[in-house]
Amino acid sequence: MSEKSKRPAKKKGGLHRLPVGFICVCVLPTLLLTITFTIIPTVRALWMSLWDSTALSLNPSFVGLDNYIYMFRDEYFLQALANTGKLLLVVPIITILFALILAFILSQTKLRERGLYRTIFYFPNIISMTVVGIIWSFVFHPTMGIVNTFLQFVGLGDLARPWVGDSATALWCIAITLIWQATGYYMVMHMASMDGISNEIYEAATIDGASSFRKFISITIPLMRDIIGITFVLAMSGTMNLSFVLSRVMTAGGPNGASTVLLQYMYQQGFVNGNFGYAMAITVFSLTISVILSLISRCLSSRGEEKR
Amino acid sequence: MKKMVSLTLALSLCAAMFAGCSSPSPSTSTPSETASDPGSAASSAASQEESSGAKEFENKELNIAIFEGGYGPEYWEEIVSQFETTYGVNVTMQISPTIGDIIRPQIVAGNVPDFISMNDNDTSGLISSLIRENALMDITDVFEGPGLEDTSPLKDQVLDGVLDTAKCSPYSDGKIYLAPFNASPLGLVYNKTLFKENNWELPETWDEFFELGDKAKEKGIALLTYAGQYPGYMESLLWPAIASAAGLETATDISSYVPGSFSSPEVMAVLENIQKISTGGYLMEGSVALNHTQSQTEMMMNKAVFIPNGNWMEGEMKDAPRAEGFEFGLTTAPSMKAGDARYVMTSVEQFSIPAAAQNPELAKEFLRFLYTEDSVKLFAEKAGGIYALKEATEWSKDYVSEGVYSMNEVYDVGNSMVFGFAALPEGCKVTPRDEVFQSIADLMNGAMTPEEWSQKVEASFTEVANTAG
Repeated sequence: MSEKSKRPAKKKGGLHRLPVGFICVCVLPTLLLTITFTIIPTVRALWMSLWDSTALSLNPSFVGLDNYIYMFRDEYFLQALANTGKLLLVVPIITILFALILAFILSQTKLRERGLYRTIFYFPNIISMTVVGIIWSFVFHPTMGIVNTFLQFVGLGDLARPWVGDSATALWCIAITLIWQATGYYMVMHMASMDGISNEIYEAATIDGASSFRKFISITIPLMRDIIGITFVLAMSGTMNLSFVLSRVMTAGGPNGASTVLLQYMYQQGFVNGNFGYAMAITVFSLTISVILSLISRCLSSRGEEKR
Repeated sequence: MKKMVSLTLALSLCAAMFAGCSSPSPSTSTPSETASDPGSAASSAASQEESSGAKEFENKELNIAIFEGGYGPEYWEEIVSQFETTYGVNVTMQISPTIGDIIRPQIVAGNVPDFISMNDNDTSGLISSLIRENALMDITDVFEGPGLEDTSPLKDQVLDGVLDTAKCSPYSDGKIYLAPFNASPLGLVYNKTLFKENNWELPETWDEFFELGDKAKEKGIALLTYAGQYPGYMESLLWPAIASAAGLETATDISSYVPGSFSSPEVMAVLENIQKISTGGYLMEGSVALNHTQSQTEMMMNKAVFIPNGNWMEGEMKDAPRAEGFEFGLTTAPSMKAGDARYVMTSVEQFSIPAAAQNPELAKEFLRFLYTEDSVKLFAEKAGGIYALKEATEWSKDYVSEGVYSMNEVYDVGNSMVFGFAALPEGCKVTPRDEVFQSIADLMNGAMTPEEWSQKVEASFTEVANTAG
């Protein structure tokens, strides 16, 4: 007993001998940068959202929660919120699903061209988002776009429509582009994690007569639960951020706000209309949503872990 | 072999990273030509003559902030150096396409420029914020006073119907806070050659407009296309049409958000005609999905007869493919009845002097200097633009391109009108301008009726009135 209690004491003594000064010096720059560029702006945004300030903030007046209250009466904000919600519901799930399937195919089958495919699937990630947006706006171009031309070629000309100009389809054009753009990135992440799964498990499953599909469902997915959880959170934040660039480039938020997303509406109110206070309120709201969503999905994936 | 393949792939990945960086801007190479240009030598000689009579200023430092847009930086570089030699002062110029974002933090920090030149659709929200915050200087005295060469009051030298609009006096109190810069006509751009080949006449009334549409349809050409993604371009059709049908006063009322002004029977008739463009099959298919350059390209390939645009389109599209023999022409919105007055929308960009400027006297002198004949000619020569002065068209005609000059002929068809929405009251979060133009997409897609359109705009007018209290 006495020996046992001595040991931890010894360890504590070891802690004291840590080069505390050196650690502080190492941590200080990062700490300062984080405070200056992340914490202070966030707090300022929170503070500004309570004011009725413009782009210059020369004589703002304190309005309390008015900006937040107005937000839920503002039909354009609600529309942007709904659009972002639709994208968040659909895009991350499909992206991760495709990424998993592609990763499984590329790492489990003995395709000769897997290196080539891996490069090609990763390609969209290296191109700047603006260029991606421009490329896809030409894919959906009403007269010379490949989608409409193809539909006419196979005799489905009736289905052709101005995809990005139609309020029913504009948002989904952005969703498709987002999925195309992000799948390769998550595929590479999934492949790296799949390579870590021991081959013996798969071999044993093969001996038991499991099909590829069975192996995918019963071995790959459960063993990758952690990384899938992380990529899902990443895909959600990616959707939130990147949908702004695409909607600005491909549809300009139109037609009549049908493809406006939260960050775009924030930009519109802040930089075009000069309502900085209101824009900050929207920012704070979006931030809250992102944090809540990522907390939920982290909880879900770690709960799954405990069950295991 | 395998190495080669992976090397190629790696290289193409690297190349793709730079995909956005192509197309160098052609304008950057020109400043070096400025010095050897005979035209500018003449004008600088003229300004030296003036220098003997130039006023002396105590504070010789002037800070100016200039938006660098389609007109390029050459005019500003030249005129600033002329001003410096004439007055013996030192001008610090910041010029950038994102000037609003650059000077905003400076203004917040109290380092305010003395003079600002900002584009019309300022996306940084700087000027609209300055207006809302009452942070611009009242420059009525400059316009009441004489010009530098022509000693008649400056306000009489400026184009009629510019200074009293919201573009220049945003609070509608008769005081001028923004000085007009250039004036360019907006309207319906068409291909003169196409009209000649088909023996078409330019339409005067809406009926003739749609008749022309029927004739064009037989040739497989649509009557109109527009930048569906940026419906704001429709202003050059909408406001003149409303001014013609309901009177210029109605247009002024709309620009100051008077409730009821966007729903009178005359305005409704125009809105219905706008809808007829789509329901009658006169709109080029797919227009709603196009951005400005895409729609302009379609129009220049003779896919559509008209496109609402301005005289900058020639410069903007100078490298774009076009139908053979394409020649720029500009006409304006049709009227309800033959013989009704027609209007041409004139776009006016502005100069302003912040209220907190360090050296307002020199800034005002700089403003007067910009309105001299040499400056106007230099602007035409270097930038191809025309100042918003009565004499400017005459002075500029030897310098501007043929397309720009011939598009100015549109003023033979209609009177100039300037339309700019008044400053929104502080704390106002609706933007009536967006309600007007964003709805056009739904109108063209058939998801909205003209009545709903007008009600939506009226609702935003009411909200503006309520915010103003």
